[in-house]
Amino acid sequence: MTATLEMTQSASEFTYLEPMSDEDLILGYRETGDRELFECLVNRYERELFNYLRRYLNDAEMAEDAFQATFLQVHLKCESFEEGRRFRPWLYTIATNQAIDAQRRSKRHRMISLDRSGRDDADEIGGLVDLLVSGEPAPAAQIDDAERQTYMQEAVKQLPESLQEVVILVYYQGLKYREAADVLGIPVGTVKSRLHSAVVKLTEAWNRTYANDEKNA
Amino acid sequence: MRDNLLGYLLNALEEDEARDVEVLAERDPEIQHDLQRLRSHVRLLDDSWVDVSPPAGLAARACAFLDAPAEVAVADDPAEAVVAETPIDEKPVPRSSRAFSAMTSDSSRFTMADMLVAAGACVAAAVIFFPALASSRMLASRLQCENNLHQVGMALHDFAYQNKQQAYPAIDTDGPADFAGSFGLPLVEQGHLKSPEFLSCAANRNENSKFRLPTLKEVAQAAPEQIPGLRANFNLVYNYNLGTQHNGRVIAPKMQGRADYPVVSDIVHVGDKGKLAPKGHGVTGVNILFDDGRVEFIRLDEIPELVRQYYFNDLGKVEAGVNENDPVLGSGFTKALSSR
Repeated sequence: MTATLEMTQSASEFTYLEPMSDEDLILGYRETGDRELFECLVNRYERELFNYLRRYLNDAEMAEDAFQATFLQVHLKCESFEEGRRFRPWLYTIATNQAIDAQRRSKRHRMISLDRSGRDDADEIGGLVDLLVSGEPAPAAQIDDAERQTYMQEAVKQLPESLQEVVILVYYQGLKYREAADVLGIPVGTVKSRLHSAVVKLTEAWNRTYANDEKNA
Repeated sequence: MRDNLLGYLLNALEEDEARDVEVLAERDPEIQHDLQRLRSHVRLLDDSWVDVSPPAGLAARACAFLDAPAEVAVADDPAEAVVAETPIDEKPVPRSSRAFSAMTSDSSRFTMADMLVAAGACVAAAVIFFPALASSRMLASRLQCENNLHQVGMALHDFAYQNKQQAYPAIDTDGPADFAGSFGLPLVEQGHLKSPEFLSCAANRNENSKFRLPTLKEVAQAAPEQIPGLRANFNLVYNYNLGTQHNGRVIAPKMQGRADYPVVSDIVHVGDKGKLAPKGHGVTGVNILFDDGRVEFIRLDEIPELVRQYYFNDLGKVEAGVNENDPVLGSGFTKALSSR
C-alpha cells in the first residue's frame, strides 16, 4: 500500500516530462535506466492500454494482469526497440502478444461467431466484401442510443477474432491502418479488407435484428 | 481509392492519403454519396464500447511489478515443481501383456496366420496412404506456386515503384510481345525477378525439365519457323492482368494496394464454351496474387462466380477490362484486345 501511494504521488510530478515523445522516453530509459521516464510512459498509456486489453480479452481482471505483463516486457525488451521506430505500434504488438498468452492460459476462447456459414477465418477474409459493392442497405431502424450501444458492443464481441482485433485497433484505439498492420504483422490491404468485412457483418447483424422488428411491428 | 473511404472516416489513413480522398470527394459527387453511405454504417458503432477508468493504482502496480518479476515466474509453475519432485521409483510401470511378451519372446516361428495378418496390414496401409500421398503431392505443388506468386508479387511491386505511374508491366496491343505471357520479360530482363522459374508452375512441366523464358530480342528476331518453339514456354507462364481498355488503347494495371484486385494467377485456360480449365493443381481451385501482395488459394466450387469474373471482362470477353474495376487474367497467348 505504501508503495502504491508513493507511486501515485510521483505520477503527478511528471509534468516536466510531458513534452518528451514516447520514443524519447523509451530511448532515454534504455540509456539511463531512469525509472521516472518509464513511469511516465506507463502513466501515459494506463487508460488507453488497459481499455485495449479489456476489449481484447473481454475481462477486466485479465486485462489488468496483461497490462502489468506488457510493461514488464517493455522493460525487458527495451534494448530491442529500434531507433526511428514508433513506440505506440511496438507497445500494442507486445500488449497483443500478452493478451493472446493470457487467453491461451485461461482457455477462454470465444466460440460464437456472427458468421453462420461455418467457414473458417481464412475464407472470411478472402471474400472481400466491399460495402459499396455488396449493396448492404444502410442501417434500418432508429433505435434508442443506449440499446444500440449495448447491441453493437455485443455484436463486436461476437465477430471472428481476426475481424474483431482490427475493429478494436482501428476503430476503438484509433490506430492508423499502417500501425494496425504493423501490430498484427499483416499487409495493410488485409487490414482494410478485414475492416470492411467487419463493418458489413455488423450492419448485417443489426439489420437482421432490427429490420425484422420493424416488419413485425 | 474507394478502399480508402472507410479509412478516411475512421481517421486511419496517412495524411497524404486522407488529402487525396478529400480532393476526390470535392470533385466527385458519387464519392461524396459513398462517404455519406459509409458514415451511416460506421455511426452504428458510435459510443458503443466506451473507455472506462483503469483500476486505481494500476500504473503504480505495473511499475512495482518490475522489482519482483523473478518471483512471479517461479510462482507461475507450481505444477512443474511437483512433477520434478516425484521419485523415479514411484513412476507407474506398464503391466506385461500377451502382445508385449510375444514381441520379446525368444521364439522366431512365423506362422501362416502371421503372414496373412501382415499382408492385410500392408494392403490396408496402401489403401490409406496412396490417396494421401497423391493429395500431399498436389498440396506441395500448390504451395510451391503460392511461393512463386509471392516472388512474382514482390518483383511486380519493385517494377511499379520504378515508374511514375506506379503501373505493372503493360501488355502490348501489337508487336512480338502482344500476349499475356510476355509480362515476365521486363521483370526478368530488368532484374526484378531472380529467376524465370518463378513465372511458371512446376506441375505443368515434365519432371526435372528446367523452365526457360526466351528474351524479347529472341522472340522479335526469330525466323517464322522458330517462333512456335520459342514461344512454347510462354504457355507455361502464369495468367496475368491484361489491363484496362481506354479509347482503343490498353492501360497497364496500376499498383494501388487493392485487396480485391487480382494481378496474377495459376494457369487457367478458357475453353470453347467459356468453361474455366485450371492447370496444375487439379480442378479444385487457383492461387491468385492480389494487388496488395496477398496470395490466396480460391476454391472454384465455393465462389465460382467470383472466380469467373477474374477471367472475363464485364462484356463477357477474354480481353482487357472495360474499366479500372474490371480485372481480367489472361493466359499464355491471350491478347489484350481480342480484335487485333
